[in-house]
Amino acid sequence: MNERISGRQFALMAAYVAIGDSMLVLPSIPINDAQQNAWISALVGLAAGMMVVWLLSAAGRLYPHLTLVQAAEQLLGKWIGKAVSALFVAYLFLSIGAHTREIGDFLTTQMMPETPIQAIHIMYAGILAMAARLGLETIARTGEFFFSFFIVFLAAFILFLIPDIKLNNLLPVLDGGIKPILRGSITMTAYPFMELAVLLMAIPAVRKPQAIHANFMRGAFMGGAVVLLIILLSILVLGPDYATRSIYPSYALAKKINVGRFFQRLEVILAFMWLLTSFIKSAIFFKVLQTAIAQTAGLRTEKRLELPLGMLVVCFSLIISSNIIDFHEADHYWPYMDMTFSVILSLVLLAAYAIRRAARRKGTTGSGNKGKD
Amino acid sequence: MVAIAGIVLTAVLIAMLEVPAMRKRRLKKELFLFFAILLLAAGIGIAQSLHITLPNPLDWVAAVYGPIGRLVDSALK
Amino acid sequence: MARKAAWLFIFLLMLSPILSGCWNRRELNDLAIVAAVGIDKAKDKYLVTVQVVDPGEVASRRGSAGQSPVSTYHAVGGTVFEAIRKMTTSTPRKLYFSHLRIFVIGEELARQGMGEVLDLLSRDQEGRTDFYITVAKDTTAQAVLNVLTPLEKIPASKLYASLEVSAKSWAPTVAVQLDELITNIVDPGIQATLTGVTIRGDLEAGNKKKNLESPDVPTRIQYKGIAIFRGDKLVGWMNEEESKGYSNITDQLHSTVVETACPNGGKMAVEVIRSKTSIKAKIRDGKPEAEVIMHTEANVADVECKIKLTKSSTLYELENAAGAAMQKHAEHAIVKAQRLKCDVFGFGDAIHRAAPGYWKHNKDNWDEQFAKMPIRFKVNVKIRRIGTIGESIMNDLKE
Repeated sequence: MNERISGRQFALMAAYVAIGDSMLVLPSIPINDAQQNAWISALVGLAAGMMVVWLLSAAGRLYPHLTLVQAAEQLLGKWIGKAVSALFVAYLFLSIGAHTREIGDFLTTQMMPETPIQAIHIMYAGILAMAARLGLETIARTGEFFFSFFIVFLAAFILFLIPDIKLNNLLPVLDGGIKPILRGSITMTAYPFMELAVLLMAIPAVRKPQAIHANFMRGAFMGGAVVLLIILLSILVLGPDYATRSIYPSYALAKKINVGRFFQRLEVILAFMWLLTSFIKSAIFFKVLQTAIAQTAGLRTEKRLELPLGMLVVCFSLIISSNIIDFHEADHYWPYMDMTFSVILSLVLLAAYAIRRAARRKGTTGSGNKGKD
Repeated sequence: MVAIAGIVLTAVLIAMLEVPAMRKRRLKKELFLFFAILLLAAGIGIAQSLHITLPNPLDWVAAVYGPIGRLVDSALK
Repeated sequence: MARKAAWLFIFLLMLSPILSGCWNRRELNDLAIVAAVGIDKAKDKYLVTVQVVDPGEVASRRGSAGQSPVSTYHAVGGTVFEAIRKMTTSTPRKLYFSHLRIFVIGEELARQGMGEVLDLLSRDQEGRTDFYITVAKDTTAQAVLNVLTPLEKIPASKLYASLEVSAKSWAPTVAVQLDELITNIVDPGIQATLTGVTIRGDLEAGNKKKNLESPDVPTRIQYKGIAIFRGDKLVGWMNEEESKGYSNITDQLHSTVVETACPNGGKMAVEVIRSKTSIKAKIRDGKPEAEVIMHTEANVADVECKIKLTKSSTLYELENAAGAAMQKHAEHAIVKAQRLKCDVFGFGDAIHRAAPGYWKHNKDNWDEQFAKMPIRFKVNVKIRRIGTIGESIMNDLKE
């Protein structure tokens, strides 16, 4: 990988991946489980998520100049490593398909119901392919550029909603016990934080390896905090009932903004913000997918595959499910797939590293690779 | 019909755009993968426009991870 | 390189017809902007009426062709959505609901249950939640939507503004939006309320522009009373006093006029400028009880009796009198609600917040418990100022 991104860009990438699609689709899930206590779920998710990121960071720093795929081969041996990488490629691919589908669903639900979803997917995949062609640096720089706008919009968004906050919506606290809160925190941990595993492929690109850990944690925290804020705001302004009922609560939130009868109907700006974060996240996933395929298959160049990949993404995003309810069913098990490729994968790599080091110290030159189950 | 033509046309265009450069640099493995993915995508696309039901990878994920999901959900009821 | 550029160019060229307009574009002049929707019961179907704005009539300064600034259309359908689509047989354009201001539910429909008609508006992606909902009282929604109003060309705007202003400055009305209504219907700890809208005067005359030709408009739309719902069914009405009390208890009172009796006979009016009410609920001996605490600031507004205003003891008396009057309104409201066994004030929610354990076991028959619940009041009125003059002229008038 011969791209170079700064530490700050890496942090922002982490933030984008964490906020990603979580800003729009995540809030209704914990609120459905924990009702008015969903903000506690979010806090638990944030804490658990930071631990996951710490783990990811540790695994990534084992070989800071190697991508995840390369490190897997190094640590687990060529064939097992490639098998793991192939699974990772499949995971990435599924994720991109899902993200694309989410954008398509959102736009056709809220704004353009008669547009065939294929048109949106094709255009989206097209831009993703273009972004991948332009490289990780470009994606990072684009993200950096837009981030200040994003923060300003977000701050304005929150500010304009303050008059509509009803603190009573948070009470009674902890009335359902801890179980619903834990249930709600599962997706909160998975979607923003576990999906950060994708950045393990981008670690070699960071200019200063010693900046990786701090920026990783910082970016993830920032992203997680934004999601927490949105969940909190949804409960405070909409109330648990309406927030659960809406499929896109943050959009419903934006519809409520009405400052002096002047600043109203601003929800399109929210749609833009969400499109932005989702796009950067998908672009990162796509570029990483390309790199992962190239490295797993041992290709000489990683370019040139974007267009067919894009096409496959479009097809895939359409097969994924026939309707939106079916698709959201996946929220029940997708987090565990996320967990496999973040937590379990990191643990396996760390274990393999430890075993190798121990074996080497004993003087044996055996390939002490721990087979992946 | 139109959709199938569109898909084939897109595939052909993509190939025309990328293949010459790859051939020139003799990237055999890349070409192989390129066509594999392209044909897969085109195939799926055509199947979809003919409304043939295709296997849904999400179902495979559900098969693998569904049980865990249900386990955790019921544990935390 | 040139060859590749050429291909790219052709590709883009082929793409442009698809991109040059989205599937979902709608030109402004293809839309009929709906300002108000009314739904009535028609046998076992729905009669949907829409009030559509005629932009030309509204915008022009001289009210050109003498046509009505709005048009109404109606249709009957098995579901609300069906009725709306049926209307396309008479509307010249497709209806656009994003600018909806008022939603009127016919009284008969409200009595039978209005939950069904709420779904379309919350589910539709053009629907927003910033319109107000009211119930047509002693009339049909269709009739209400057909009345022309003076001063405000679009009657729906008048309804909207009037509801908002009266809720803020007079109190016996409440401005309810869709999300609040849905939450109140669904939540077991509170029941829903809606303001009632009536037509005063001759209905037939109200539909004509003639209605607007004299200064004292013969037919007017007016808000009157607050409807009490059990679930989504209308079960009763609150009169003006009770409505004020209701507004007060639910902390929706911003400003109003409280009429009190002067110590020496006669009346005076006190203007409330700030009011905050909170409900404290608790369980005592296994039974719920609550206390309503009101803090109000007021000014003396209208003195129509003989009274020594410039003594602070007078003001204290007035404070007590005003407080007593407000408490009386509130008590009447509670009596009405308890008789109908509908907790419209949110005492249930208060119990839920204060004693979640008790609430979990009792929320299913809450309204029964509410009906027997003892409720105390603590009213605290502070009269700050008395306007720009001191003693009233009433004191000096020769009898």
